Amino acid sequence: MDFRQFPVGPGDRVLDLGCGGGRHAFEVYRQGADVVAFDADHGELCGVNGMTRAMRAATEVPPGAHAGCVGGSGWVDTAVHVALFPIVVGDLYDRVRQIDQPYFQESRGKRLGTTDFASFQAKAREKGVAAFRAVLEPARRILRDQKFLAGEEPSYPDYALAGAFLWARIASPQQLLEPDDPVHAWRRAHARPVRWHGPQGEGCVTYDAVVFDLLTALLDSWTLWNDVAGSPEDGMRWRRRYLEITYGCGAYRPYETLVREAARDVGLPESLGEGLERRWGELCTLARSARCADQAGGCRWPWRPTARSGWAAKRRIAWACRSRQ
Amino acid sequence: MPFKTVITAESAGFYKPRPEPYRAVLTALGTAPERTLFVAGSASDVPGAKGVGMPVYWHNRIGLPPRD
Repeated sequence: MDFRQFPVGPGDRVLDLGCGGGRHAFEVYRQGADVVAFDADHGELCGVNGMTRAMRAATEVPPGAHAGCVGGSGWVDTAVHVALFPIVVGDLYDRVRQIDQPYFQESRGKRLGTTDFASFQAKAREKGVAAFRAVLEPARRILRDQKFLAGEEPSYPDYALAGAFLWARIASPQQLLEPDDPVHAWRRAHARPVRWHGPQGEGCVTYDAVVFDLLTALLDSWTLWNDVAGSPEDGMRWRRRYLEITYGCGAYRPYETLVREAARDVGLPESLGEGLERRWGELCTLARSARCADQAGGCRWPWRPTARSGWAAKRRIAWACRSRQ
Repeated sequence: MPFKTVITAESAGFYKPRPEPYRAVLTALGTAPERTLFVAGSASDVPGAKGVGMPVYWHNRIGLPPRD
């Protein structure tokens, strides 16, 4: 390209779609424009990224000019997911709704040549996760030099790759990365558990930790109280009174005591407390509860312990968390 | 996904929405309140967690009214 016919300079913003080896991106960057080099080939992008960094280090570009590299989705979709799928497919299948399992078996079974997903996954893991980690090499090379795949700020390639990790993480406990891997550091530092659109429209906010009220925001204790009480109306009266008591009780008093007191205060049998304890193993997540409300037999906490835990709140919740892991 | 820590009313010595259980969580996590999102299930956690400086998302799946 003859840049005398196409003058660019400081203040111009150039998007080089399909940048390839980067010759156009290099030139407009040298002229002082802000350039984003985009390509589906991450190998090429690694080279472009290295060159723009070298140009900046060699002061070949005017101060204030910025260059970034952005990869297309092809790499994540055609390489990362393909390498990831075999080592998590059994875990994925375990988390598919019962009603969706036939479709999963048909579609994924056709692709893999088997519907024994657990065995397929076990066999894939025998080889280790080295193949998956090798696929990440383009990202690793970029992340050795910069904070994000897209440059100084995260953009599409960061979100696309983070999405693959989040997808695996919610379905599988499989460790995918070694702690000394640059991709591990990127994921830990930048793919934080939540990116949240704040209530005042302040855009994307990240948090270091998310705290759940276990029994009301993650697990559906509401339905269990209603079932034990015999109706949603009685369950809610009982629960409301229980909350009133806890709000005003000051120092801790045992959960089971307050449950009984609340039942008595609203004219229900105190024995409902024992009923709640007896059926505690039926607790399930809010999401699962909503999905299976119309299924015969209701739903049960899917990782029921082999032996009953105690009724003390600390042990009860510790059990729930242990089972969830 | 494992929980990093679990705090109960029993271990904190108080029920929510007293500030002690929220503060116990922050101490256990070692995170700043403004960097820690609290996902509430009932109305009282909204002022409770906000009271110690945490942003709150109320996961109000059963349509409870806000607490006065």
